[in-house]
Amino acid sequence: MVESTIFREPMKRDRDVADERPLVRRLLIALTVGLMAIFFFTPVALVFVEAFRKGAPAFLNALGDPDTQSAIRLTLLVAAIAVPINALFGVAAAWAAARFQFPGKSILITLIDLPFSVSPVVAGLSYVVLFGSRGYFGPWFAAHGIPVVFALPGIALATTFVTFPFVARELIPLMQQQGVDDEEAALTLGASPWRMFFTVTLPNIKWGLLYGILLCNARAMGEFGAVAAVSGRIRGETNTLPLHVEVLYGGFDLAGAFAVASILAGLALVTLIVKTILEWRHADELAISRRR
Amino acid sequence: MDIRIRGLTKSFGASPAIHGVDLDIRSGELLGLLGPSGSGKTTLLRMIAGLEIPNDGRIFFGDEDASFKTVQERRVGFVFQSYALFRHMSVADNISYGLRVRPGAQRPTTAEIAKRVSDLLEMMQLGGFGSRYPAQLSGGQRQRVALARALAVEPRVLLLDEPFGALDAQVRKDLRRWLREIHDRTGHTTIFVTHDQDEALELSDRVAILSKGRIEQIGSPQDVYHAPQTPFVFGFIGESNRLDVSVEYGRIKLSGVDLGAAAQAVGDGAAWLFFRPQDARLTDASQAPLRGALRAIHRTGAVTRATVLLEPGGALIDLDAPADIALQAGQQTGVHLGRYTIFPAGELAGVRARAA
Amino acid sequence: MLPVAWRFGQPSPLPGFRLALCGTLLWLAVIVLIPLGGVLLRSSSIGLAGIWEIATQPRLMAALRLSFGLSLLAGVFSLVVGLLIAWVLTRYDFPGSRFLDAAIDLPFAMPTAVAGIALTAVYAPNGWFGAPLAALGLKVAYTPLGIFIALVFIGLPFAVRTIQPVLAETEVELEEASATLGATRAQTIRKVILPPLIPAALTGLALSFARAVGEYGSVIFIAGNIPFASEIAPLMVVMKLEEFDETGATAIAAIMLGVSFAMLLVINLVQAWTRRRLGHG
Repeated sequence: MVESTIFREPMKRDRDVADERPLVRRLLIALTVGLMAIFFFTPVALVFVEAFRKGAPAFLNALGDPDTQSAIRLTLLVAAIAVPINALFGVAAAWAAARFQFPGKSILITLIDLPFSVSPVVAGLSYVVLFGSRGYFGPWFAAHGIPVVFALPGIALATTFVTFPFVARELIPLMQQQGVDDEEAALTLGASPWRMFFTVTLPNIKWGLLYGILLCNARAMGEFGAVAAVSGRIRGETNTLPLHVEVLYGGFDLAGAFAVASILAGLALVTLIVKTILEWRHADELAISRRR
Repeated sequence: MDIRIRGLTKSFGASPAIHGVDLDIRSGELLGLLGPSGSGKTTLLRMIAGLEIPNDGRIFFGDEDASFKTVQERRVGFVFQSYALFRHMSVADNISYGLRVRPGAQRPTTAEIAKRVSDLLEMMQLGGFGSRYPAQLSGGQRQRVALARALAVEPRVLLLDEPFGALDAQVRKDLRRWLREIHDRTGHTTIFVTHDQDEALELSDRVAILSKGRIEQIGSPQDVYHAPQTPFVFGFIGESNRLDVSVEYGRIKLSGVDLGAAAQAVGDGAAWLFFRPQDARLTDASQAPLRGALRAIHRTGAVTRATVLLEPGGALIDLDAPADIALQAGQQTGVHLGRYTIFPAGELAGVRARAA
Repeated sequence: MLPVAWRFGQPSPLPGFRLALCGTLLWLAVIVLIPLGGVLLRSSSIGLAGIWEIATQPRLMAALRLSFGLSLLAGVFSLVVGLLIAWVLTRYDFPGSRFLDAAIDLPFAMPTAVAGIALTAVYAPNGWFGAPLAALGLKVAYTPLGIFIALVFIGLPFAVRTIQPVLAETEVELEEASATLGATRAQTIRKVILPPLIPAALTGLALSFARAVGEYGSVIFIAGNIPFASEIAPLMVVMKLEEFDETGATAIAAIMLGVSFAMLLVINLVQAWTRRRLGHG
């Protein structure tokens, strides 16, 4: 019989069964940090370093340029068209897909996601094929004096295409998870359909909607390929901010290009921060955090 | 394989989960670890398996000190509450996993592995299920696959964590009986954790009752039911009534009324009197020192359960009455105490003060 | 039996089905289906033979081969690195781990043109990484290697974000069960942890491949766009458009659309297979 001994030898194993040795773990963490620094953080840091290389006055000067100003205005305008309309239809699509059963629903959901799998350049091209001078509808629009390609409508359409899925793909899983109980309760209590929507549905999905709109907006303001294909890059007229970056860069105005790029990078960082805050604060009111 | 545990201690952060537990498990015995949630029973089981590292103490498998052996070296069969079946492997691959991961020299041949798998499938009444995937099985079938997988490696001890926790009542009962059969046939030393006392009492050779990281009592199901050694065990196992009494000069008093019962070995001072509903009976109100008013009467089949509001002290107690006696709520009655146990009043963790 | 008017879909007490569905379909048609249909219609008027003739022009052939080859290569690389990052982010808690987790989405948020010029400047012969690499005799910017780096930049988040949730779902009991059965840590990782990740890994690969094939903004700056050496397929579409050669542009677009649809099909098949086999989606 062995006595109940108290001993203070160090334990041989200091880790759980389902874990790596501390050395391996530290190595893997270091590798991850290193890879992310190389691939992600360095390019972002470079944008800001280059933007301010010649000091704040040069930076402000680049932003004050009339062409830059017009690019900013056009970008804001395009986002102001594409984002609300996609948000509206995203909510409609989510209402149809998450609240009702109908044949072809899964095909509809796949089609809503389709723009994410199509090259932005092809998206831009598709509007040229429709509305270009030799396009299917182009001559009709030209005859009625409505320019589409190489003009605001084309840019707005191409932007709407590439940002189409953001709101719907966030809201569909969210509303499916939330279920219909709240809405049915509102109806049994005598609420009218619109009242139910504004007092029950909308408050339930507000953070998810905001999340979708945020990502939608970031892409709308930053889209390059699709807009490049339809805009014609007319300086001061059909140049959005990303296109303007290319124009400046192509003209060897590196300081100007990075100054403009730094606004877009700043926008991306703000988007990322707000998105992260939403994920932390409202984890249970977002579909994405439950999927993770 | 007999297992001896000495002075085992484990704490998570500041809160201790197991306090210096000593436990002897006999070779070939089926031992139940019973306790409320948070009593440390699963932690104890996981330490035996090597899944949790104790802060202190030793574990012996036979004469071998297993305290510092890794999980892999201990060769235990562990059945998880969630079964932890590998979803991407067929039933046969799940069962043979422990044999296939052995290093080359110790690994049985493919034919031997196939034979072992088919024997186990047969034993588990899962013949023909070898090529299915866990997702295609019912809960009870998954449970049996998990057991077969644990048995496949010829474990020195079989450890089961809440083996029937995730099953519905009927399947539970069947599997319980069947686990006993498997145990009797294979003769493995088996330890299982449960919070269900019926399960522990029906299945085990011996039951160890845990509370707050300590073993309160270990004994046969009859022992722990009929001779509880601590207030906790009395309250935890079966139905019971507890009265807060005092012992004065060796006499038991309830709110000053002498109950006419001996205080056994308990000294003077505050004490707890425990008795089971079937160990007390209703008597004439004028003759008993313990009196009260009938509050409620529930007839359930053979017995009648009477709830009495005692006059001295104002406590509610439950007791069994014969079904043929006419009783009326509100009537005065006396209570005669048959068997009872008295403990010095102390700390009583997590006990239902009055059995429902 | 009362005569019931035929209705589309299951009856529901909730209102607004017809309005929501019609609005969605209309919008989907106007923005997505009619334009893509236009491309398909135009390419069908070119005909398979015509597309083949355009696609086999040597310069275009080189661009397509480069785009598909590098996208696959970058996808596989992203997968390996993505697995490592997903592992570290889900399994280990260390100071800054939440920051790194948030930063994974950086390429999603960063406008592609910005990423493009930034990567170019970093890897240019006088850049932060470009200069030391050039000293070692390794030219990155304006070569296929540069394109590869840009494609990894945009593909990595897809790999991480598809693997991460599946890895997070892996119950620790599975690893413990494997250990009690005698498996070493390496065996547990190889036989228990990694196999269930295969469907997610394939999905991630397909997503990052599809994105890489179509990627334009972050690639064209660093590519240098040298004919037969570093021209990518999307660039050819834009070039043909700028030359007012819609037919040529459409032919290339048709090939790229075909690849997109194929990838979509692969992803859906993988997911259906996973659901059937493992009983969860």
